[in-house]
Formats: sequence, structure tokens, C-alpha cells
Amino acid sequence: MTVCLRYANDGMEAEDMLQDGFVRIFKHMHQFKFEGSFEGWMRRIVVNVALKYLQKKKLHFSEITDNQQNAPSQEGYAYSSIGEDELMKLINALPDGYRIVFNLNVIEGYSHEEIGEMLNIQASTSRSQLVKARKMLQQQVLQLQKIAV
Amino acid sequence: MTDKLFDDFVRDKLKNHPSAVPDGLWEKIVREKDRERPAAYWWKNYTGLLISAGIAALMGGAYLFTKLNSNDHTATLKTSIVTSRQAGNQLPHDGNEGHNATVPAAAPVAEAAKPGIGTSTSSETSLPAASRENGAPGHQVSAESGSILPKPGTYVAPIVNTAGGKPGTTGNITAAGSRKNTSSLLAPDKGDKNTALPLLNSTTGISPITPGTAVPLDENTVAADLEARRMSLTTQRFLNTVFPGNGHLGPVDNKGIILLSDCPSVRGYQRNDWYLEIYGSPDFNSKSVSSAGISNAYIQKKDSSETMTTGFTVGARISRNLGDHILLRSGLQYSQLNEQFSNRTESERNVTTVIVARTIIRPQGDTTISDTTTVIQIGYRVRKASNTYRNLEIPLIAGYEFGGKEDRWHLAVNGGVIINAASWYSGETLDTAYNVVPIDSKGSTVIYKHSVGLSLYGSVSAAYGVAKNLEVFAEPYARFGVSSTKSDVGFTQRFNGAGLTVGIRLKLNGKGSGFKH
Repeated sequence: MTVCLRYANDGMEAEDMLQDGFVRIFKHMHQFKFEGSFEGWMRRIVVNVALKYLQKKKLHFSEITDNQQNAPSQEGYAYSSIGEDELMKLINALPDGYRIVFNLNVIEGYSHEEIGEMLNIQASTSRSQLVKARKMLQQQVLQLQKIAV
Repeated sequence: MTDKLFDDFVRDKLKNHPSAVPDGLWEKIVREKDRERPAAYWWKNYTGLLISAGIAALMGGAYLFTKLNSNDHTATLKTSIVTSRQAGNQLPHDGNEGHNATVPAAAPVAEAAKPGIGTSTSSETSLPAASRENGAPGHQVSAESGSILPKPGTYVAPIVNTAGGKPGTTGNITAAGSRKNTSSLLAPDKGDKNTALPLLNSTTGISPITPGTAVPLDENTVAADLEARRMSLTTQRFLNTVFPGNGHLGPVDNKGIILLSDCPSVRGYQRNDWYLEIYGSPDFNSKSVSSAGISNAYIQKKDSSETMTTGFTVGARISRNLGDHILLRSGLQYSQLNEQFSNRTESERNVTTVIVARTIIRPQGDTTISDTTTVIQIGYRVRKASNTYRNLEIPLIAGYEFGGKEDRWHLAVNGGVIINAASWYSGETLDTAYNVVPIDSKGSTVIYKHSVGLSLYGSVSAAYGVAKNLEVFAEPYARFGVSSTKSDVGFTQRFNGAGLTVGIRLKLNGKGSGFKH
């Protein structure tokens, strides 16, 4: 469910993604070749379903104007107080393009070339989206820290 | 904090972060899964039955289509005859009232004698107009042939109606084909019944005879004359006119009329026969077992414990001629493969309890003492069982048949595939621990998987016509299993076989094979 929530815009959409993902898993169960982990295979199917959902919505990888040149440097210990739920909210607040590329690269571990193929975009676009997503996320984390302090 | 550290931080936090699943989601997934199940389920588990149903539907449809087309053709031809007959009666004749006056009297006779196409007669069955008109007693109606025969000793020249539209004459037949051509072939109607008609004289050398004139002749001359007329070139020209542009004419009956069931198609005369074949055969099968991840020792042990015995096949199939020599066959057959399972286990111990009663005779009275002893027998045990593999199969066979339609003997070389639509089995076998386990497909222990199999089939067949619509045939065959029966314990087995099919072949359409006696 967490995987779906990271890609979906809301809980309802995540639920639909998960449902379709599991139906597809049951349907293609016999195609699993026991060559890797079953969890990884399931996750990949769910991610593919989620991407299909998003592609139906005409995904745009728009450039977000960034006024700040550099994100302020933050020490590692400053992040440790952030919980998973807060982090999820911050990721969900990212624009669609940023969020998807960030999820695929940072959390799922896909390379930019693979992401480019999956989303039908250039690998360089994926890279730039990731840089901007990371930067935006760091800023938001910092903001959250300031509020907490 | 570097980007990498930030990424690692986020990944560690979220990679395995659980989220609560909404209530009822699993029920929804199960519902959705079941909703999608029917088509996939049927395709996965009943592929054979679906294929067989499809083939049966196609065969049935093709048969019905052929039958309907054949009926339509006949109906159209009959209708055209009736229509032309009515039209012919209404046609004004060129001044020959006397000739037309004979028409109503002649029509019922001809129709009553031979309905349908039979009313269209060749020249010798036409009514001699003058005799009818005069009520000449020199004719009698033959109920069998519908023709009017002259009295012995007299011969009356026949008249072929050319334009008057007399029912039951060649003019009616040509109305369905080409009336003009017929008229031009035959003598021009001069409107005079007394005019000598040079009917067949140009090629047969038969002298013209004035119609209505009784000529005393001997019977042999008349018969020879009639036969000559029947077989004359003019008759053939007439038949060619009925079916213009077609050099392939079907056989004619004794009145020179083309049999409807043998009407040639636009591609010429071709066989279009449907047969129902009912057959059975003893089968001699062999089995090859191969490993699919299991040890060779097990395969050897299994192989030595199972021996194929004689099986059998029974079935019915429809066969159809495509042209004169190609024969297509398909149907449904039940095949049973029998196997003898025999497993010998060594060091078997059989413990038997023996009670020995002894009577001790004493002066005080007899005393009976019972001793209980156990006897242990060590030996081997042979366990036997009869295994059966039952299959429902669909043969799809094409053959090349030697011999014509009229031959009593037909030899054919056949080849094709046999689709295993469904299979089930019972008996015993060894599991991987060499224990004897049942292989009942309806039981809880399922050793073999159901699968749609395929076999290649080759045979030669010889058929002999014993009656008009019945042939008996024998067909030695061999079949080679292409696909294997998979098992759940890590091996596959494939069956090959040979046998001799014997059966009967019933012709479903037409008027029999018409073989030469």
C-alpha cells in the first residue's frame, strides 16, 4: 500500500492501484520464474500498474521555477527527527513528475535509463527532475524542521 | 548532508514503511479476480473441450450448409419447370390448334406417372399427338415409366414438342436452361402435326417417320430404334444444351435424364460425398518416461514397474470428399490406454499369530492349554494394479483416396493430428519415495496434470462397398505423441501407439456409391 500511496495523488487512487496490482499478480502468478525475490516481482508489478494509472492522466514533466539557488546545507542529525508519515506527506506534495522520478530512482532503485524507458522520457530529463525533486524535498524538510524548532 | 546520504535516509525510511490497507480491499480484490475468472478459467482448463465444440460446430455448419444448398438447387430447378410449364400452356401456338388441344389431356398422364423432374422426358416418352387426338387405341400408359408404349406390332413415331409448351417434354426442360437452343436443335415446328419430323435422322441415319402413322414393324426393330435414339448424338447435344458450356455431364438415367444428385457443379463433375464412420480398434501402445527434475533411479524404477497392455479406441467421425480423391475426416473418439502396475518390495515382514491348543490328559480331568505364538515370515511382496488412462480425442485427418466413385474398393493414405480434448486416469504408481500411491484423477492425490495433448497420426485404409450406401473398412495406423503428460512429481511421459481400426462407413448423401457390381 505504501508503494501505491507514494505514486498516487490520494488514498482512493492508491487503493485502485493496489487492487489492480493484485489482480494482475494473481493473473500472472504462473509467470513468476523463481529467479528473484517474489516481493520484488510483486513490487515491480504494482509500480507498473501505478505508472499506467499516472500515464492515463497525461503526466507532465514541467519545470518548476526555483528561486533559491542552493538548498541550505543540513546536517544529518537534523533529519533524524522526521517521521515516515511526515516524509510521505512531503513526497506526496511534490509535483507529479518530480515525485515519480524520485520514487523510481531513490526508493525503487531504477537507473535514469530505465526510468526514461518506463516513462518514455529522456534519461537527462529524469536526472534533472530528480535533482529538482531532491532539492525541493530538502527545502521542505528544512521548513518542517524550522517549524518544529 | 550529501545527496547520497539524503537519498539513503529517505530510502531507509520509506522502503519498507507499512501503510494500513483500507477495510474491504481484499474482498474487493478477490471479487475482481473471480469476475475475470470465467473466460480465462475456461480457456485454461477446458481448451480441449472448447476446441472440440468449435470443430463440431464448424463441421455441423458445413454439413448443413451443403445440405441446404443442395436442397435449394433442387427446389429451384423444380420450380422453374413448373413455371415454364404454365407459361408454355399459355403461349399461343402458331396456328396449330389441334396440336395444342392435346396438351391438357397429356399433362395429367405424364405427371401422375412420374412427378417432379421425371415429368421431363426424352423424345420417346412424348405423346404422339395424332394418336392422342384421335383417341387411338394403339397406346397404353406404362405406370412405371410414365411413357406411352405402342402396341406390339405397331410403331408410332414420337413427337418432340418444340414450341407448344407441352408439359413433360423437352421444351419444359429447356425453359430452365435454353429453350431457343433446343428448338433449333430439333425439328422446326411447322404447325402441322402431319409434317414428317426429321428428329434424329441427321446423325443416326434413322429415317424420318410421319407422326401418328402406324407402321407395322417387328419388336426388335422398334427396340433397336429406340435404343439408337436414346444413345444418339442428338440426345447428347440436347443434354449439352440443357447445361450449356459444361463439358462434364453427370450420369443419366434410363430415360437419358441427368440425375439431380449427380448434377455437375460449375467446376465440373466432382464428388461431394459425406460419410459417417463408426469404428473401433485394439491399440498397442508404448510409453516413454523422461525426467523433468527427478532422479534417473526413480525413472528406472517406475519404468520397470509399469507395462503397457492392449488398449482400445472407439469413435465416430464424419468424412467428406473434396474432389475425387481428397478425404477429410473429423469426429470424436474415446481411447483407453491400459497399463499393468507391478511393484515388488523386498524384506517384507508378515507377522502371523498362531494359537496352539493342547489337551493334557490327567486322571483328575483333562486340561486344555492354549499357547499363543507369532510367526514372522520375511520375503517379498508384489503389488499389482491395473492402470487406465482414458482420453477423449478429436481426430483431424486428411487422406488421399485411390479409386473412383464406382469402384468397390477404395484405398487411401491418411495423415493428420489427434487432439486430446480431455483425459482422466486411475490406478497406482510410485511416488518419489517409492511408495505406492493412487493416481485417481478424481481423488486427492493428483500425480498427472490434465493437459491438452497432440499426437501425429498416419494410416493406410482399405474400404470395400458391401451395399449401396455401406462400406466396411480396415485401417492400420500408427500414432506418435508430440506432447507429453506432465506430472506433479517431476517427470513427463509420452505415449505412442499402433493398431488396426475396423469399422463401417455409411454414405449420408446421394443415392449410394453406385459401384460396379
